[in-house]
Amino acid sequence: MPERDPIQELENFTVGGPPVHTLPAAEVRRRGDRMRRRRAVALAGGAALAVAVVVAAPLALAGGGNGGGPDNREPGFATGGSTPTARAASGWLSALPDDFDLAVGYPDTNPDGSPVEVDRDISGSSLAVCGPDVPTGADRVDEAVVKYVAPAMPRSRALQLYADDAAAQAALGNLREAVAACPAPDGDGQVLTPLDWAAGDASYAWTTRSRAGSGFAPGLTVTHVVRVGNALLVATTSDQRVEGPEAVARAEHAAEDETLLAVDDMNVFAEHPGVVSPDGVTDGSDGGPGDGSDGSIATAPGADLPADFPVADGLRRAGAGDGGVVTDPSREAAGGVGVLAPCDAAAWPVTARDRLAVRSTGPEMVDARELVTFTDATEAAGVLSALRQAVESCPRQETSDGTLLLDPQEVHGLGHDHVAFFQHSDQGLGGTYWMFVRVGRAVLATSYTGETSSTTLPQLVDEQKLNTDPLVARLCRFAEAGC
Amino acid sequence: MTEEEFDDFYAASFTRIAGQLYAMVGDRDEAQECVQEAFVRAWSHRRRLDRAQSPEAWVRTTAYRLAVSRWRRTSLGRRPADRALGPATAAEPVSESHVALVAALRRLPEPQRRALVLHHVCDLPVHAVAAETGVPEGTVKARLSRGRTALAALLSDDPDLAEGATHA
Repeated sequence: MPERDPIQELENFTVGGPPVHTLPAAEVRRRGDRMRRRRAVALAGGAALAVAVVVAAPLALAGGGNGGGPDNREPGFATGGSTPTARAASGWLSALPDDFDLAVGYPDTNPDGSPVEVDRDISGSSLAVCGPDVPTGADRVDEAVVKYVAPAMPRSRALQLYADDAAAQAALGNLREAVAACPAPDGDGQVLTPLDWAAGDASYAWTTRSRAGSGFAPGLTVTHVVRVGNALLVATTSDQRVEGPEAVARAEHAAEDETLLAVDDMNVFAEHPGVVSPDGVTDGSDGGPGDGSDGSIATAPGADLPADFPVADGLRRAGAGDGGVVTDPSREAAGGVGVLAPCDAAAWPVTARDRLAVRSTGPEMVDARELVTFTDATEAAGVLSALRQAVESCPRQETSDGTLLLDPQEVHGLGHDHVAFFQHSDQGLGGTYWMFVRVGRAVLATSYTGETSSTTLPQLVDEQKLNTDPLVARLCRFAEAGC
Repeated sequence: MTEEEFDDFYAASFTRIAGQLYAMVGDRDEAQECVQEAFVRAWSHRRRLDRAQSPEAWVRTTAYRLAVSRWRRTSLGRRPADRALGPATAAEPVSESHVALVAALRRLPEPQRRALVLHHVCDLPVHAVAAETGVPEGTVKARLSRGRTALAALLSDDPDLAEGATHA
């Protein structure tokens, strides 16, 4: 028998077997569009832009300490404990799903042959930023960490689950603040540079490099922080051999590609995950409220609004048979219109005297309202003015998934101080129509997310006004001179 | 990338990438599923695809990562239905030599198998294999050398050689 040439056999390798039956290209694109829209609507839903968070009190270090700083240690997480299961009554997941593969994209084994394993036995973790490690996830309800341990190319991810999206957003803000507080070195030292990157409901990313003389020493660490719903992913990707601008750019893109594999699977953590119509429109409610850590969404003690105030009058409702859900009016911003932060400038929610929030979710739309009151009309007018300025100063924002646009809308015949605009991506259908109306010291905020195009937008603007007219009329009680 | 460009890319490269992934993971059906999913993600991230130096490499890398992820979950007993890199359930290959080659590849350490496939099946030069796998060229050369030796031993009729092949 002649000797076999393995290389020749390899080079002649074919799939073999029966013919391959693939999906039609159009179906592949449809599924890709659906995945993209899910992300885009999450962005338009609001929270994508909410990253500017200030955390007054630093998180307490819950444990660990072997994470290593960027100066002379590998990036990664110091860890230590574990936790519970399922979706809490609040609607947020209270435990990480067992089948969520945090290590997606990582090799199966470390260079030393040991398996790359996800560690759920975590009591707390910290991340090297600069100086002392920054504790992360001290108030998380569940956490998992995975590391790829390679001397030249270490990688790690921590996935932390919080009680709600506001808590997760606060943790993201904590990291952002820690990075911003890192001093620029006078001479040689670590340089942290924020990246222009957007993913999930909110995100932040930066690179860490070592300055050496007039240039940089070889090596790069990219850190991505992404929030989807009440989950926060912190991923670090290092390559100690990278040198030169082109190699740095390639390494940044490769790190981003790898992180996005995990981010693509994080929709499960959205407040209303997986509600995607055949046309790909999600429930759009991924954008829950953002930061609460600095009291920005607080309601002052003492109810100003009766609990039975008809804030849900005229709200669009999907049939129960279609999976429609309408929340009861709540004083929590979490049940309201979501986060608005054009170009990362937090604009909504705001501190108010009182608040009633309601949200209707259907398979193809989300219709939400928040009625908030302030101490006086001047304060309310200031809030509207700030909103107007935030929107006008950010007509477009580049994201990794296209351009996010804010198109101001004129609402005819409203007769009250108002700000209205359509927030949408230049990729795909859908978006969110926001309308804020002030009457005296009250502001009614509304957001409608669904499949809206430039053709149908004028009709939506008119409908939203008609739907809210009766409620706006009831707000005259908050104007000193009436309406 | 326009719809037409994507459709052409998909039509021209699906079978080729699926074959390459099959050689890497040893399961034809699983390879096709992962490549299919990678193309969905490619269209979903098409701006990134435009930026990639090689869209085909982007899809192949993504498909491979998805396959590894599925295998990892299978190995943990979390997703018993998954097949990638696990016990083969593929449709029958066409020939005895094909069966032997797939079986031999499956016995190689994963880094060697991937390097061999990228270099010899995908026809990538060493520097491109290094870029796609994220290791230095010297490491790729070492893996190729050991992989060739091991593969030759596994395909040999000499049982003594085959026995020690994967220790290379």
